Amino acid sequence: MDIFVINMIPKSLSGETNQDSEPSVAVDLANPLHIAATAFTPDPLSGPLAPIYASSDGGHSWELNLIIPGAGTNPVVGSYFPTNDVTLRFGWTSNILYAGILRADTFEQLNILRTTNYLSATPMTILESRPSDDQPYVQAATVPSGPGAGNDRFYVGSSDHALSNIPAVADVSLDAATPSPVITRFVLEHRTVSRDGFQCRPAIHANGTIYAGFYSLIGGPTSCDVVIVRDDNWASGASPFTALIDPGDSKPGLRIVTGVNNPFLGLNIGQQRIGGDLSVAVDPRNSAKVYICWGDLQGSTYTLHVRKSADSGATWSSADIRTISNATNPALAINSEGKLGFLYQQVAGPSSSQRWETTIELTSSDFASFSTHLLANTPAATPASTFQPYLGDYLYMMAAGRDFYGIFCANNTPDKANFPNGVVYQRNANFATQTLLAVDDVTTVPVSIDPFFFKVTVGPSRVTTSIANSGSFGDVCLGSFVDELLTIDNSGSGPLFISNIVSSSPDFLAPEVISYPLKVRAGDSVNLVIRFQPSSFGSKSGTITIFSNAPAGPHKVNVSGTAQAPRLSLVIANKGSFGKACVGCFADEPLILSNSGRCALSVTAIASSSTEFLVPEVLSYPLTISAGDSLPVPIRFEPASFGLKSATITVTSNDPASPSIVNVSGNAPSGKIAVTGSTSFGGVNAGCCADRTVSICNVGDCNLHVTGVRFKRKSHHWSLLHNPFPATLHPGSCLGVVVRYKATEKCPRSCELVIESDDPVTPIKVLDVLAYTVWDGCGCKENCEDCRKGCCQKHKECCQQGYPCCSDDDDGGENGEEPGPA
Amino acid sequence: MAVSVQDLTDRSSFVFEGAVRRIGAVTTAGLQPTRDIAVVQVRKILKGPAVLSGFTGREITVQLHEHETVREGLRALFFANGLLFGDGLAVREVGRVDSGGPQLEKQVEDAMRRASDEALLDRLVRAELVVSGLATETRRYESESAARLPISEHDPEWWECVIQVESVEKGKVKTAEKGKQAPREVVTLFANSVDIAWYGSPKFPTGTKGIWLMQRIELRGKPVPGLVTVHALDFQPLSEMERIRALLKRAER
Repeated sequence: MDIFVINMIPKSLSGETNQDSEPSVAVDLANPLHIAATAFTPDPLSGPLAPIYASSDGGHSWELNLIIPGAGTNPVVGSYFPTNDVTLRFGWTSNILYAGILRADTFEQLNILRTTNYLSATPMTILESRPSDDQPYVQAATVPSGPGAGNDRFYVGSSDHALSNIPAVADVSLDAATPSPVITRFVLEHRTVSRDGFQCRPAIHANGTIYAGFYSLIGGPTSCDVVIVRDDNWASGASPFTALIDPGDSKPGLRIVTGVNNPFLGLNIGQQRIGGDLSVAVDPRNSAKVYICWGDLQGSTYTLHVRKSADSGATWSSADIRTISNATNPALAINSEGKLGFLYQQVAGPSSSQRWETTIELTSSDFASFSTHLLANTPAATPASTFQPYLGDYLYMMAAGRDFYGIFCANNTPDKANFPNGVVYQRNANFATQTLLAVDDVTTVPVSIDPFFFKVTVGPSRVTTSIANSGSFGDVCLGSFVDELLTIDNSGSGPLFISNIVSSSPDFLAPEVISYPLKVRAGDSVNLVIRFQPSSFGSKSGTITIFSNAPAGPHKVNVSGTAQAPRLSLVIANKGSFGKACVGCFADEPLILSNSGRCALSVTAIASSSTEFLVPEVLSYPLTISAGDSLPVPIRFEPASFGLKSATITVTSNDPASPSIVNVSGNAPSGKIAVTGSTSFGGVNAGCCADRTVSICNVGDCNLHVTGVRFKRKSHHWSLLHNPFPATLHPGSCLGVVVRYKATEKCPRSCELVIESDDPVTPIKVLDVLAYTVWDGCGCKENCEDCRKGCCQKHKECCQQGYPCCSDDDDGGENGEEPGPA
Repeated sequence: MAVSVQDLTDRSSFVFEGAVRRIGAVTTAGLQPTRDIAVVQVRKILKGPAVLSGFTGREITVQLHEHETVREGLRALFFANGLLFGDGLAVREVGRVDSGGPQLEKQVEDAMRRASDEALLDRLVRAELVVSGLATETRRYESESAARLPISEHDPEWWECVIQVESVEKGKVKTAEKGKQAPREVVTLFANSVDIAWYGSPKFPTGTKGIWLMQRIELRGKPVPGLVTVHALDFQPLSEMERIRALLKRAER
């Protein structure tokens, strides 16, 4: 059950203070969003057209559209009026709006009007005009099937002043939508009466059964009868409205109750005159089931009575099925499920502070049980009545499907407490201060009587949902999210209360709702955000479940999406081979980190398994590589030792395949020693010295560090005249070492020249140096004393190789060895 | 053919100075923007009901009578009637006069005054009897039976008002006693009903002073038995005496 109440005065008329009483409302059954209504609301600019209240959104907003002819200055009174009485009704499927009015500009002249577009500015067309009448009360229908199918038909009950007995009459058209409809007036009163009451209320069933109720003042106003007539074929026969014959006098028109004491303008309650209340409703599912409500004085208390007939009005419940005292303005309506709605306005409270309580009761059991819903509870003493009727001589309620639509008038104080089921104001109002405000939203406006539209949604709710792409959220990157609107539409006829919304997957986030339940009115919808925020890669799916009061149970919405991954590709030249790099040197190669995925790649670490392959220092991880982008990262091969090297470079990222590894390799070659030159001196004449040069070369790819060249043993006979080592030999370079042999030894002895280097293959190379002394006549014979004595000089020519070197006294010896054999 | 300010004022219930802001635009949801609709800022209202006074300075929608001559920025005196009342106000233009300042405003004021005089003059011409005086007694009209249900709830509920005449401005009043001038009394019927059809008709509690215009009328096709004072203009305060006398003189001419 949902109840919606709105003050219909539009915002542009926020400053108005009219007594906008006596309302009527019509819902287009073919499109219940289209609703028209009226009240005693004038054109604020006093033009010749009276307004209707028009809504095209189911009553949620209203505007005044000036289309009813007959407004103007009453020629007798000289004051401007909109219309006097007015009622409205749509054809059931034609979208045509019909109206019965009393013109103001010609005083009580009845008009029956029609428009095919109540939202347009075109004035309604006048179909019928009669000089003097009262309370034209229109009902309309479209024949659903059978003869005349598709025809609009209207039945306008009224009180015709042209006849002396002022009887209840009905103006009937069986072709109301045609350009020139035939309209026939039927007198419904078949008895001799002083007159009938002001009211004549028709009711239509789709099978062509037409009822009409009225007061028959046989004994005067204090003793009248409540009469109902019936026609079973759209009032199309020769004697329409004569199907019900009263068994008491055999006259058409069954007297439901007789001797009713109706005050007829002789009583006011809560500033409202009592002019005789009457309402008739027929069950749309069963034309035999009909209800009526009338009013009378019970003692001094004005009282409404509801009775029922289950046999097409032939007999009626002997007692009231519902009785309401101190109430007026009844309206009965029956919805598509047979539920009876009973709307009335009752004066309640102590006389010093009386209030008007506008109430709707709903029952499916003829009030054996029923629900009561207070629509408004407003002060009855304020504002002071400007004219009569204060609230209206009638109001109206009708059913469309399961729902009830109605209208009533009440004090417009913006006080939430006055509207227990809530209220919406279009006009400017401050509910905090309970003050009406003018167009400027500042100036206060006195309280007046306004029309209030209401809708009671009775039926069940129904959840339908829509979401873009059938719930597919598409591709989303990890760490990111995408939102989609889930529209929850209440396509049912009752209010939807959503108690929870849950997701089956943590990757799909249901909206956070501060406070459940969420209420969605029938026909309304609510948009909620569903977020796809995957926590891992890959295809994801889930179910959003909406828990509500919908009879169909929880509503499920399938959702899906894909958490796209970044994809790291490592690219390095030469399959990771850095080639040769000498120790102490380095070689750089770029490692290309390429993101071939659709989401950003986040690199959190780059590591090497070897200290000889260096990864760059990164001040702050992660490194982010956009989709499709790449990032070159230098890798350095810096060998610390000789030989083949290899390592793995490991890149850690948010690629699901992480870590990614690339193998790298390199070679750190050494220098390579090579020695050239002869180290064999042969015989050297005693006292002579001979030299030989030995070249120490680096035939390797990298520097050769020759750390030393020396004789293994110290000898007076061997010496190094030129020794540049230690020294580094670049690849391809040589340095010479000059070896001298001093031929003074008595016995030939070999010696070993030792070359030390970092050649890993031959770190120590030993060369035998060979020489012997030739002891012959030429030269010194015994020892070098001879030489020192000038022997060598004397025998210079004796040095067949080398040169005399007796004076070259270096007998200190090398390596501390004995200079020669003993 | 030029249309007079008087004619435009007579045919319009909303006259205002305004400036055209946008053409083909609206300020209320119920209208579609078309070429013959413009948004106009109301600068000053010269004629209009109090309920719309808050629109001074605001933008409203005007369905133009002649849209070809309108341009944005145009300042003019707009003569209009109601069209639609929703979120915003929409009016239907009757005519337009280029803004003319105080002189034009005075023309409108004069037109409204003339229209008021013409309406009262019409009532005076129709009246059978015009008197000033004091209501000394009011009573239900004897023909009206309290027991009888009125024809409709829109019945006038005729009451009589006994007026002690101070002056006769039109018509003749019989003296109370032949040969004596005063006191003179007349009786007029008035509608005591507060029904929507009659609440605007003047009521005369005992002690009321003023000027009564008494007419013979028909209601529902039948003559009302007696002179009546039911029209809103048919009772005037004594302060209007000079104006009424002037109008009566004018009527005699």
